[in-house]
Amino acid sequence: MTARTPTLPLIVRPASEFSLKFLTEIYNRSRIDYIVPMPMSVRRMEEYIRTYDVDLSRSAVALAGEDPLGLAMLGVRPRHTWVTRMGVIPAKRRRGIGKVLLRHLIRESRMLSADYILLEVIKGNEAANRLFRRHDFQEVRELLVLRRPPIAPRFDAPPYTAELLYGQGVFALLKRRTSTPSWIDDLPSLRNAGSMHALRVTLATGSRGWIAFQLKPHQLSRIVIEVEEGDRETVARALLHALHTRYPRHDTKLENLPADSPFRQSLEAIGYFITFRRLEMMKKLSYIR
Amino acid sequence: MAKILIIEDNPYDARLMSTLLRKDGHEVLTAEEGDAGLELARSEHPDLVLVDMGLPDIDGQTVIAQLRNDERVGQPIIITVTAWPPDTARFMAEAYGSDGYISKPFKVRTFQAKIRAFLETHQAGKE
Repeated sequence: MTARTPTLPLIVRPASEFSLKFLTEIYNRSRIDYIVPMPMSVRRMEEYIRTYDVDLSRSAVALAGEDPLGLAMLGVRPRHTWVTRMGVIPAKRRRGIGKVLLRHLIRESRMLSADYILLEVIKGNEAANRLFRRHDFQEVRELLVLRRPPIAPRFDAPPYTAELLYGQGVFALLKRRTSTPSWIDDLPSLRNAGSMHALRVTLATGSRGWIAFQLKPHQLSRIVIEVEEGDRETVARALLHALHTRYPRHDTKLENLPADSPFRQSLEAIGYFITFRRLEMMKKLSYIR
Repeated sequence: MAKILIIEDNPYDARLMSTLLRKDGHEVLTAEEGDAGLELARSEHPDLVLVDMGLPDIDGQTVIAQLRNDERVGQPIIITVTAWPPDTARFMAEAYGSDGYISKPFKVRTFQAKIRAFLETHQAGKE
């Protein structure tokens, strides 16, 4: 006869009751078997929480006794929330823990009177996708994560003049953005992230546009492209030329470009390639008032 | 024998690779994060660097890009260590200028032979 290990009841506690080290460990353990595990250090987790307005008091840790099972975080902004960093430790899956965590975050979102909840799921993660659909999340759009290594070939552009902006000048431009941002490249995220710069480019023809980006020692990221006047492809090429000739040794990461973005072709033509795809999903919340 | 730097956050994988490489007589250095790995590469000038693609501070692609761009590092052989499907791993290795890739979970039986082959090919290219 084999001895059975007693199963402790599942409990859900606010993530704010635990140290960042503990939360980071659960997160990393829950992703260890992913094809792209994307582990985080404590410092990176802290930065993530601050940048994306994650409210730890409304985020959740699932436990059996003191044994961690999974984690789910909730970003909170006016009128909407964002489900993120959700994961269950591999050995603890298929016990409904993900469902419990998700329901906790939906309940917290309702308590905040949010109009809707957003999330992103890696395309192809069918188990997560099914869980979200069962909870009435609907697919909004496909988002692409692109990279451009510094060794990508150089490229040409029509003659232009470029002006580098930082500080408030960047946010004045970002307020005029016409594309729909995802949570991670929405204005509050870009403000929180810091180190935002922009290049405003004017072509000899009078066509113009701007490109905003986060500048870090090794990497360009959080890229937003806007064409204000003129042919979209020509201006986009000039903007990207201005960016990559100014920072030729930087690796570039462009997250959450909509799959139907008008700039996709221009980006791919100059060495950007897709590393993976996400699906943005949304759940509308209704209330009996 | 070569000086080999392992940049890997998974302690199990790092230990296994270190043990196998030391058995082959190599000098092994390890770093758990990308920034620490870059610093070691600048100060120690390794002959070969094994870079895990999923690191907790900066990702493996950015580490490879920096290794390739930093004159203080020298010109080490760079090998990507990844759980990505082979086609993606090969594409990413080429795109970022690494010399090859080793798939995770790696096979203990063939790991040492692969490293030897990378070192020999590189040496032959120099001669």
